[in-house]
Amino acid sequence: MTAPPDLALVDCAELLEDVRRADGGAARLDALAEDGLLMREGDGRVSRWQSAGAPLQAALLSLAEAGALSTAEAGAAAGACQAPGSGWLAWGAYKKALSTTLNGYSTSVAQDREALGTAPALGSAAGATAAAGQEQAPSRALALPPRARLACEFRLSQKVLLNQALAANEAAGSAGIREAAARLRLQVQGARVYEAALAEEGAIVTGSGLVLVHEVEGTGASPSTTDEVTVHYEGETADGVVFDSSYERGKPMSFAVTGVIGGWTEGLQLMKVGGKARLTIPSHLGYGDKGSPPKIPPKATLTFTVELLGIKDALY
Amino acid sequence: MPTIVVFTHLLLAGALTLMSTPPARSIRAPPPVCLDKKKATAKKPASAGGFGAAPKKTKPKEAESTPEQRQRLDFMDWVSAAGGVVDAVRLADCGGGLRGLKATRDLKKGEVIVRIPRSIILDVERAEASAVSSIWRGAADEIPGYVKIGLAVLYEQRRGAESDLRPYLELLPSRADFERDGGPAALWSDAELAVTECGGLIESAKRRRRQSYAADVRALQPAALAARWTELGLPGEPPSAEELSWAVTVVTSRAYGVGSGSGLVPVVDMANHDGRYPQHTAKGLEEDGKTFVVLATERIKQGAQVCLTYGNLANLLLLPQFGSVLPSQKPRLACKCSPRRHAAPFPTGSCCPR
Repeated sequence: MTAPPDLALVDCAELLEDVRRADGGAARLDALAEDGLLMREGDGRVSRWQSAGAPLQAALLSLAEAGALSTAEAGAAAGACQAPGSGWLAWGAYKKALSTTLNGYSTSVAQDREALGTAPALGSAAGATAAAGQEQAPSRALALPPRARLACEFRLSQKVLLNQALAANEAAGSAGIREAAARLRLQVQGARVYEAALAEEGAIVTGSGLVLVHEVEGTGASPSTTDEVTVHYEGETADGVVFDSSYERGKPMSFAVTGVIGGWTEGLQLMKVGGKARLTIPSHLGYGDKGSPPKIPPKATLTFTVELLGIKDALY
Repeated sequence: MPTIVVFTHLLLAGALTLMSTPPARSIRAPPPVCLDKKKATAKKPASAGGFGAAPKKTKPKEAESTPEQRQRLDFMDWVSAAGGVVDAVRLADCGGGLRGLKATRDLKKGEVIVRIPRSIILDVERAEASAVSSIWRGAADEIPGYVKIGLAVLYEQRRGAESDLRPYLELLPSRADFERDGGPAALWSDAELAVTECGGLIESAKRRRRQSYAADVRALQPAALAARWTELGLPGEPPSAEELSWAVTVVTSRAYGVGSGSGLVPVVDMANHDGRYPQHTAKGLEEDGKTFVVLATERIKQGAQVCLTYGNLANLLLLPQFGSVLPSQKPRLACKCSPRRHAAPFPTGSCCPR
């Protein structure tokens, strides 16, 4: 199998780094390594996927579950991120693998539910019994030996997951997958842009994670939260695409310091009139997990160049 | 005034996931599922409780004093006598045979729920300081911390009344308890594992089974261990391979991160696991390293179950290590292979055994 070019988007090492940086990401990677889903390097660091399809996808699904990726993104990465040397796993093959595995189980979801006595069919009768305050009839699950019951519950939960993954893949379609992979790549780029900003000389990092670099210090006053300011600005996403620019419009913009994204509110107060600064804004100080479609993708790290032209007291 | 600087700081930052000191890998939270009252409706609890199941078909009657209830009360008294603070919780049946901790009063956000002094925590440090450590002194193979704690459990048990941990040890689930509740799949037979039809799970359970027997440590193989045990004059019969496996599984199914290692933390290890995020509790060692503390990170009402989490773990990890299965709502680690029919497109070397 050769890599479909449109799926070969994500470098595994980058993806891992991205996850590692997420909240609790390092611990999560360690846990995955412990369970044989990721490989450790000689120095004990978890730094690459195990070169196997199934654990890789399982790991990615768990990342989806952790909120680091959406299910579609995880699927896309699984398709795109197949370990080197073992060939690329194309999207269709992934989907097929899911359903093959599902079909490999000796029982259906319904049969397992039946065996465990969790089928909703008897719901009303059971409810009536409970309402009457009577001892509830022991469920069939309890008739199973404890380990068989646990094993069945586990098997059922796996099948439910596979079905969900399959449905998600179906819903996303190949266009959705491409889009998801591109988004993922953008997030990875965002993490790099942020890191590069941190490493810059003179970079100021605030407690919330905003990174500010003064290009021109300025000499005037600094605005406070009650002020309104006038600025020229240009904003770009991590791939370098300018999504908004007052320079381009040829007209500066005025707004209340508190009427903008968190990264701006904070950054502006660190500036002086006449100054020019570059703000690198992580998504939680920007447009968050959802982004602001169509221009701002989810979890976007944004870079703004801001020129503080003036302050006026918003209260007068 | 004890400091809980670390906690308050992290609480403010909302970085609760990072609160627990990461334990040595492969030792994670205690067990099972913390069933939400709401979620628990139609479904019987998916798994065993933190310290063995409640006796079957016995309705909990708080007023009545059974030997078992007296044992629990004695245990809590023992913790208090050692300087622990546990009055905000009680050991309780949490429905459907699942046991856990329940709040005895309304708890405010930020309030300390439980304080357990280091003196009654059986951690690696304590194991290293005890007489049983002679077993591994000079051993050629490296012995993991959880095995050391397991050996310390066996040693303390054999000391009987002389062990200051006796009230705790008596409440640990026995092998029979594990069998009755299902128990960590690491202790299951191959035939029992086969019912899961999941190659990944079976492989992981077998790996853990080997670890529980300390299969890679020559000094801990039955004959060598027995000889050394006798030679050192350690109390009681030398532990059998089965006993070692049981003890190690007890540890890996209920130890928490304590300092740089891990350890058995009385009371805390009886709380059920809950994968909710954010959790309603946070836990960890105080800055001075002398007390293990559980805090409420949100309001907890009187009578509500107090749960801890070690993160949002997948069933693929929960079943082998803790013997629990969470009803699955979100994509977790799905097993992508069955031992019966191998999923064709996967390259060789995947998790499926041949």
